[in-house]
Amino acid sequence: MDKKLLRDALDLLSREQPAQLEMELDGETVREIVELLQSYPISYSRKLTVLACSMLIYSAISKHLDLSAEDDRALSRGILNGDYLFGLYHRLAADRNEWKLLVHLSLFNKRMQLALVEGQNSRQALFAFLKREIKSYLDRYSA
Amino acid sequence: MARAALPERLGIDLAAIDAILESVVESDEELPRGSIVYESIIDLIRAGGKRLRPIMVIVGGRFGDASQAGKVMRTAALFEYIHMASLIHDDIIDNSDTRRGRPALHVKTNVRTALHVANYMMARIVEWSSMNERREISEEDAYRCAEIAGIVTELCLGEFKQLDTKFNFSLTMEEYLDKTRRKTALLMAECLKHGAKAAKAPEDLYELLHEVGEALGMAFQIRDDLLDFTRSKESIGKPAGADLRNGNITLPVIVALRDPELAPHILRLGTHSSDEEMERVIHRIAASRAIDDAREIALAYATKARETMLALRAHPAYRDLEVLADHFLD
Repeated sequence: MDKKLLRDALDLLSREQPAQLEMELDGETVREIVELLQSYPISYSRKLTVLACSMLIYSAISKHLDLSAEDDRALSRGILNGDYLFGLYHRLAADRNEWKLLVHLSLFNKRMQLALVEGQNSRQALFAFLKREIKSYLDRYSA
Repeated sequence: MARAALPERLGIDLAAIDAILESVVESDEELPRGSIVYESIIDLIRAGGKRLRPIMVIVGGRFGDASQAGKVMRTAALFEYIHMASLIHDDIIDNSDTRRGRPALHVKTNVRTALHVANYMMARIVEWSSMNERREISEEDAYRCAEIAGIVTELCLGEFKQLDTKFNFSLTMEEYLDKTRRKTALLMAECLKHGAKAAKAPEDLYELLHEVGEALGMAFQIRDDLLDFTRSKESIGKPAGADLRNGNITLPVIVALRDPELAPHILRLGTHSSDEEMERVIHRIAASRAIDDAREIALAYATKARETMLALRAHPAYRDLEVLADHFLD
């Protein structure tokens, strides 16, 4: 795995995150996205943006998946954490000139939200769906 | 004689705004008609609202080219969707059971559904706004939309601050003003600015309009904080002092804490306080000079807005900005 890409993505994100906000990622998920990115002939800077945006959108959805209505304070913080990460994803994609990625992942997010309302809440399904969308984006726009 | 409502005075058709808001979901071929998401959003739009943010976008747009009216309306819809989605999340966070006199969405459905309906609204408006009027994805529109959707981070930072300072009476005036700017004023400032941008107004107007919108937004929010103490439950749709009951420290409270007689009573409040104790302190704050002092601070922002506006007085749309300011600041 390209550890530098991952380290740079985490550095990029840490500059924008409030201190108490932690990303919601597991090593396997990130490793698979990094490996997918390695197989496409796009610039390092674009790989970095795609990875960071994918991590943001995955984490944002995960924050909202993990909510517990039992604890008001944790519920509030969880909602805001997810909202903040969604907002950051928009800012980052715009700042790094990845408008096609922005549109692509927004469509993915919309479909995810509809699936979540319908009761789909498996993290595995979320990741499989995200990975498919990143692949489809790279297939279309990596030339 | 009663003064005409704001949209009428500005020649803005609220029905046209509502129609475009509905068209955002109507045009989503992936959203089944009759689904909980579809019905919830249509209900929310039809419940009405002041539509202040779209109105501000339209007024900002009047500083530009009238031929860009379609783009301005699309920007107006984008801001209102961001606002509506954030209200759904706010109602969950604040435990507010009603919105415009009706059950809030999380009460009508459940927390999880309401949360994802709001997220759908954000995702859908970004998808919709990234397309031009011919429904083609456009680079220019996608960037504009992302820039606007990115403002949510600032809204969240304001909300984090509010959450972290519940019943924290050491919140300073500066912290309160910063929180208010992020939570309310910034979005209003961006409405005026992006209205002008969408209408391709001269670039030197963007920052001026942003400054006016921010000052108006601050005055508006402080006035809203005051109303929470001075209006009855019937007129604001929630019990007086609801902010303080929820632990949210607003300007009247910060100012009232300077009163040596009142301060000890306020400082004793917390999640443990009984309704009677809350009621007593809320009444005392409402009757104190803190209300007038807080009103003075709102007035200072109003004055700043009016002074900044003067730089735009040669423009025909200045009159509309004045109407907007009159409405916010009366």
